[in-house]
Amino acid sequence: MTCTDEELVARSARGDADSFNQLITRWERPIYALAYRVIGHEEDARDVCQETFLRAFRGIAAFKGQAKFSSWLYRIALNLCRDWIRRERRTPVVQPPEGVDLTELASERGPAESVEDLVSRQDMSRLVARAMRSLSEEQRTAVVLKEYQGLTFQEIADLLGCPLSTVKTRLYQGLTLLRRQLEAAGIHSGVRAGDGGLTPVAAPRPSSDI
Amino acid sequence: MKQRICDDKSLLMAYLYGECDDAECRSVEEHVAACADCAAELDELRGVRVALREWAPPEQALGFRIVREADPAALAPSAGPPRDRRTAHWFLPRVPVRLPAWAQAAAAVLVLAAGAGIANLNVHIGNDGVTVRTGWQQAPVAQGQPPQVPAQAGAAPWRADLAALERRLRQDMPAATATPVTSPAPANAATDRARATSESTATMMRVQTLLDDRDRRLQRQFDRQLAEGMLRLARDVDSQRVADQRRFLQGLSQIDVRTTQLSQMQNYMLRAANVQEIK
Repeated sequence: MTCTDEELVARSARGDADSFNQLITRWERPIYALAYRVIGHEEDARDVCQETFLRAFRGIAAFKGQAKFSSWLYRIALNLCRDWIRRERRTPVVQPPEGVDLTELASERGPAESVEDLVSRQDMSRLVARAMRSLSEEQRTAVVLKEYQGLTFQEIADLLGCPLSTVKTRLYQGLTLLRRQLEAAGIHSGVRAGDGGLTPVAAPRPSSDI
Repeated sequence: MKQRICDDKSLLMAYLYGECDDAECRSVEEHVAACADCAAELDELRGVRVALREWAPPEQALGFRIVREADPAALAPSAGPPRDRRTAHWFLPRVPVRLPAWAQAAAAVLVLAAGAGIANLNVHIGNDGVTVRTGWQQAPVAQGQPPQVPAQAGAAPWRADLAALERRLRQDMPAATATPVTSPAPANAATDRARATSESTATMMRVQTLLDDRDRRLQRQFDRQLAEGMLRLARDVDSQRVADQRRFLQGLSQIDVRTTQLSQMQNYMLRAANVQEIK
């Protein structure tokens, strides 16, 4: 039988390490993905992920369920990411993708060939990673929490401790900046046929691969 | 409403992510049907979302596990004051993310071997550690000695770990096997079995910890020896460079002397030829 987060949290608070390990198994990939996308370094994201669970374990007795366990984890992880950025004294930077030169890609493009056709899925991933570098920490965090962690606007506002409108503004600014970056790389950001038309695109929920 | 949607993007964002009520959805749809700019922007923002889906984090072997140290004294006999009961000990994932020690060793050997082709190096990695010796030196000049010291120093905890592990296993194994057999009551037997299982698990954790400690120690030892070897190599290269430079300058001065001698000889011969012509 699958236990809920709340049940596992309650057992963990009573000192059951196995229950906490189940929580780790359940949430380590989303937390790692969050850290990686915010700070952009694989190894450091891994350290942030590990430290997040270590702190969570140490503070689990004080966690009274005032928020969702995942939100609590996200807050710990984001604080650690912020500490990392301050410690490193630099803008959060996604590791520069290797082997992809946007200018070369654009010049290699044939007259009837789109860049989307030219680059593979992995290259597109690198292009997006590079475009994310242009965002501020706040914009990046908003985009990551909304787009990849699947949080609602209200959840993000609660998590970041800012008004709902601020979250939407940061997200809008982030998406607009990303659109410009992608267009500069020759990627048409217009939605393709079959990708939703004019119906709203549903927000993805956390899954095992995020 | 038109002005509001054009100027304030909040509603557009809520619509984009499906977080507006029916009335708001209708108002946005009516607006984008009439406003080409907002329709185009909505289309482009959807396109950005499609592109964002392609960004996947790199595959990482995580597998974090939190394990409470059952017996801190057994794990670290000289670790100082006993730790808090809630202190957690992290095991690293079983699948290492960094290159394993053997791969790092192989890479280091490859690098050193490539360098050896240029610098005439003699690299030896054995039980006594890493030894780097240059072919310029006629004798090893005690290069092999320094690595042996840390190697021996690192080997002692090794043996101590193994001895401690053996002792613990000898202590734990009889307890794990004998207790259920000797317990008279079934209830007690079940309790003892549970305790034995728990002790067995704790023993496995301690074994894992010892293995992890050993890996870390070996890694540190290898890094230290490699660094020492590279330092010696750099010193050798530098000293050889100075020696070569000195020899080159000496050669140049000799060439200069020879050139002067040849020039003088040429002058003598010319003079002799002129004397013969005059005669």
